[in-house]
Amino acid sequence: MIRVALIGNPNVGKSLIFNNLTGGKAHVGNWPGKTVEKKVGVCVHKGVKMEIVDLPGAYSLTARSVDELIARNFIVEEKPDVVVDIVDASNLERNLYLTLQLLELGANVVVALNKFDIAKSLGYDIDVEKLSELLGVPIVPTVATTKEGMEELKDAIIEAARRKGRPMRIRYGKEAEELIAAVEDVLKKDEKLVETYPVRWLAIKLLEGDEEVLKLVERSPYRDEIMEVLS
Amino acid sequence: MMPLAMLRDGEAGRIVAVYGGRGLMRRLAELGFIPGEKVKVLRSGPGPILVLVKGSRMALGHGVAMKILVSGDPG
Repeated sequence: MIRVALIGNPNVGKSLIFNNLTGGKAHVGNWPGKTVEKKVGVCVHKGVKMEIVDLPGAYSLTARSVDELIARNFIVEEKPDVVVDIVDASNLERNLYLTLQLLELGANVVVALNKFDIAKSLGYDIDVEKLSELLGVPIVPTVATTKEGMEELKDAIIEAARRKGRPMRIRYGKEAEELIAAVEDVLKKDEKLVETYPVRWLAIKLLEGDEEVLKLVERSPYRDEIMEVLS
Repeated sequence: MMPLAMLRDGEAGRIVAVYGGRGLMRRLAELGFIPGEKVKVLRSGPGPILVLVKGSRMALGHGVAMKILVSGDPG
């Protein structure tokens, strides 16, 4: 069984795609300890069973709101086989921010370029192939309201699960890269931490002052050494 | 120039600066409130104001909207 997570900004058609994939049959519960709805459904495509988890809508993956934290923790800790990032094609600039954050997190991303019809009617001519090449992930244009692209999306998910994506690296310039490398070096001493979380991501979040990641480091036996590099 | 909170219903402006702590500035940037960006007030107070930024509607508390400085009508 392939474990799939759906994520996207609010109002991109995420629920509609979830319903299209699962036939609307979802098990609805709560995320442990949080009053945020958790929807899980199943999709069978070409004999392959997929478990689809609908993550809360999010503009980013910082630890600032409960919704975003749930989404982020699920991706980092549960490590779904594929993360389908639903992107509003008519509002690419805003949406691709989350995409980059997912890639930085090391998620195996498939982008569903939804509302493709609206983008077209606005006169946007999106070079899907070029975008896919730049991001290093498969991209499927979809129109959730008419179920266009759903079969292709399912194909892409299965294909991605087999292949396992290669993480894309976003460069931050020489000065920042030196800092990141220094933090990475000291983080690597804590094998348990690095096993669960991508080390480069941890380093970047620490330098950003991310509260949740700082809490993780607080529990590390190498806490003092890590803090020294950061200061 | 004036704070975003002082624009009336239907008025638009361009963001000049955002004043706040690191956390707030970052959060606002993630939501699309970046200097140079166009914002339009869909509904102003009482209470939170509803604005359109980068194609999405966002509700901002009055205090936060006071921290976003905008210049006059960008047309």
